[in-house]
Amino acid sequence: MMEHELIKRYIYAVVRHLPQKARAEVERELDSLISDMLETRCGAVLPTEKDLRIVLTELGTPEELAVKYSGEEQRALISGTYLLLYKRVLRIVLPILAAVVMIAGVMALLFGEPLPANPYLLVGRFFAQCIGGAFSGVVNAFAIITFIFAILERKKVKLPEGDMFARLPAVPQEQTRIKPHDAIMGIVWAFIFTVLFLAVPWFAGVYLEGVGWIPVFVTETVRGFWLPIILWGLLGIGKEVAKLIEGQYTKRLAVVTVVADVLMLVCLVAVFSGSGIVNPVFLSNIAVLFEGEGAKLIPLFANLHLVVLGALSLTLLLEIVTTLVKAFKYDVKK
Amino acid sequence: MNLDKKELISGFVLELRRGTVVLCVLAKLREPTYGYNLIAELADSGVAIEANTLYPLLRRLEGQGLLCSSWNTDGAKPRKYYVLTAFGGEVLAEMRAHWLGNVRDIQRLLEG
Repeated sequence: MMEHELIKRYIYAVVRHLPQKARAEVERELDSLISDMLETRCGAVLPTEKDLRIVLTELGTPEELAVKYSGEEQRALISGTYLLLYKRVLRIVLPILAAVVMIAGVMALLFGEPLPANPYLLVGRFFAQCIGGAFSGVVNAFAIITFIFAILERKKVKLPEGDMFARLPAVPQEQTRIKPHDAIMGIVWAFIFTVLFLAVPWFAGVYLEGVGWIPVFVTETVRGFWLPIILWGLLGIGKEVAKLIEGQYTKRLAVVTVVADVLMLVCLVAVFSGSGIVNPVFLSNIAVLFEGEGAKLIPLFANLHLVVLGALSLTLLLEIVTTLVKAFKYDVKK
Repeated sequence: MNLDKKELISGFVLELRRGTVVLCVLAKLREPTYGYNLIAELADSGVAIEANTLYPLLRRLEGQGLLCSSWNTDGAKPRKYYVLTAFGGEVLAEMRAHWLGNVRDIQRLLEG
């Protein structure tokens, strides 16, 4: 049989999806089957092209048939419990990776080649290096994670289960639940603040008639503190990611938050404890800004670095207290 | 609504059938026969199965060691004959017992 071009092409369209070693056999099988079907349909009469088309239509599309032959009707690249874990891993890994790559990009930008003076170029390079880098990093990580899970699925690797009962998470009550968008906002703020403070430290400043824009901080000094500033940003992002993963206020989360906050405090002290970070030109022009009653505020500015340090530390201390209170109030696991 | 009901029922019937196809095929293969003839024999017994389902199924059952096959080239055209292996026979006997048990239980449940 198989003298007909259409049969040859149909059978080839099926077997090309099958493993090499099965092809010859399936080819022979299908050829025999089609011949039987034609015989049933036409008897002794020579089958026409139309008969052949009807028979092949009855068999279904080559793809459908190939799927049935390969036994992969019910199979997906990633499914079932693998899919649950896959989605969870992606949700955790991708945002962290994006943040880390962006901060690394900012560092490379600041300490690599000299920064372009043109702000448009600066912004352009920022986008190319940080956003572009984060995007390609996320795409790569997505591909690698997908690949790993596809293998786990294919090989049906058993995931470690441990003690099922010990693994059951506590059911979060409404008030203990951490809303994901709060944590995500926290990540975004920490990131934006770190980037702005290192890339354009002069964004904080005042405009004075005749003098122009006076930055509060000395750009070179701020950048000299790149390590504690970036650490501060990473810690800030890290603790928000921990909130995302945990999803509710627990003692475990409280420990992570307190440790991160204390380390962030250390970073703040490192950056703001010296007065060298405040622009002397800014200080000498303060008097112009505050006349009359406002003049009482001037002594405060003499120690501006400490005021900033105090304000930022206060927010961290507040967070330490609220996290501890919430953890001990709500995390009452038996 | 009526169409939904029909669709729903045909879905359930399909599910019921899917589980029984292997049993029917094994039962018919105590004697060697080739795929296309098996379709006709099953149809005579009231079990409709399409070639595009049966042929891949036969290959799979062979791969699982329940059937063995050989090409018969004596006739006008070559045909692949399948027959139960000893292992396939054991599996069939156990599945038969399961089936009869199930039928009994479900019968009782439906009439109860």
